[in-house]
Amino acid sequence: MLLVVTHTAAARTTLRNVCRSHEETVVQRFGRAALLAATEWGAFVACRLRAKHGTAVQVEQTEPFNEFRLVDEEVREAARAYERRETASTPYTKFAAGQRYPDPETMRGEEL
Amino acid sequence: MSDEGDRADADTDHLVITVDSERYAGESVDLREHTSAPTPQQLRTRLPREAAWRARPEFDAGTWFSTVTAEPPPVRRLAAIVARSRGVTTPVDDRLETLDAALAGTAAVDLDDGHGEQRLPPRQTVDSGDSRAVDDGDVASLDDPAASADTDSAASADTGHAASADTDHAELTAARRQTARVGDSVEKLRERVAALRGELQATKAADGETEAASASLREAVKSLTEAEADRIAADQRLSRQSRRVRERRSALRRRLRARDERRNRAREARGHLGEAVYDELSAAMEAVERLTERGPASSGERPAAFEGDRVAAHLAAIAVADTAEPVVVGVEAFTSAAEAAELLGTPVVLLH
Repeated sequence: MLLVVTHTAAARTTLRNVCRSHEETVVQRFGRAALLAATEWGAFVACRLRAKHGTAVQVEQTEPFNEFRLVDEEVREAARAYERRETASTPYTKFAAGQRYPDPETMRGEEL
Repeated sequence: MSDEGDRADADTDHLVITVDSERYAGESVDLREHTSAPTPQQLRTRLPREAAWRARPEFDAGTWFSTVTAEPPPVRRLAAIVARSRGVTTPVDDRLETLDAALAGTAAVDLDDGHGEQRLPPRQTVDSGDSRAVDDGDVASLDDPAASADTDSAASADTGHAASADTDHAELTAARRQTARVGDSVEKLRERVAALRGELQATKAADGETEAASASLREAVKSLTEAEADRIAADQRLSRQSRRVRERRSALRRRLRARDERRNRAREARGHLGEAVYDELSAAMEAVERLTERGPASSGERPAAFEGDRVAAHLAAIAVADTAEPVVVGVEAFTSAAEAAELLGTPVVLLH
């Protein structure tokens, strides 16, 4: 899908109007952003917004996130375990230290 | 709205109360000398209720207009309810009604720009936001019936939402896992087919026996076709689930927005209502002060500016409200029950 984020009031207004008149293309609307369907028409709408507002319109192409396809089991398990931690105030680094969980620095260095 | 006919009702006008087989009867009753008198709340349940006036839900007064204790309700809310009882309306009433209907899930309304025709989900999708914490600054006391009613419905609504959200989460997770798994096996099978094809060609080129190799290839191609069909099915299932969750999220967001707006409109309405009756309420507070020496140090210009004896304000609100419900007064204020009944305009039971 196409994520359109507007960065000025004018761009936001245009986005709102566009969303109103092209509802079928809008997958989801947020305050100053919208997810457009990954169709040529969605792209057309995004291009129009860009043509009108230039850099005040940011467009990103998104893909649904499937952790089972992209992420190693140990990372998923670490996330689950951390969410089940007993003390809410324990930071992850401390939680993972000395355990079998991956440390943040390693994870930061690993591209998906 | 009180109907004058209710005031003449023998049940509400003439009280009959039996405490420890002693019978008290009259337009008003003084139980202050009775040693084992019931609590205001206990007594309240034994008195007739007048169902004549019904305020909007957010002004739901509970027992505020039939029980006076040392913990009076917030003056701002009282003032608004008094105004409602007197039939005062506000410019935002229509909108409030629309929002209430929408939040009760009974009407399709325009709550969102661009998604107006979408029907709101039933009540159980309320979010877990603490409505009391972010209320308009009124300090909701524990016995505030309106606030506790709010919290109750929000709590039960949360359970409903949590249940469907849990199911959604589980189903969506399963769908993602399945897609990933099937996708993996498709990749592996593709590699296997390519490898077997290579082997077969090599065997052919070497004029070897191809029977076994082509059987393996046929087998692998068949598995790949099946896996690809599985993958398509899994992808479709995942996108169906994702769409459903997305719709639910949108509904939830619309609901949250409606709830926020309702809170804001209700606050506006309360301000409007409070101001509409506040002169009269201030006058009643002075009357209470003259009679009971429980006075407002300053009733202020508006309910929000009130600084004074909140019990006096509570009594004044009952006096001004259009209600004829018997009132249980459990605070020290009056010399006699008749005097209290005269001031409040309702049958009164005095308790110690």
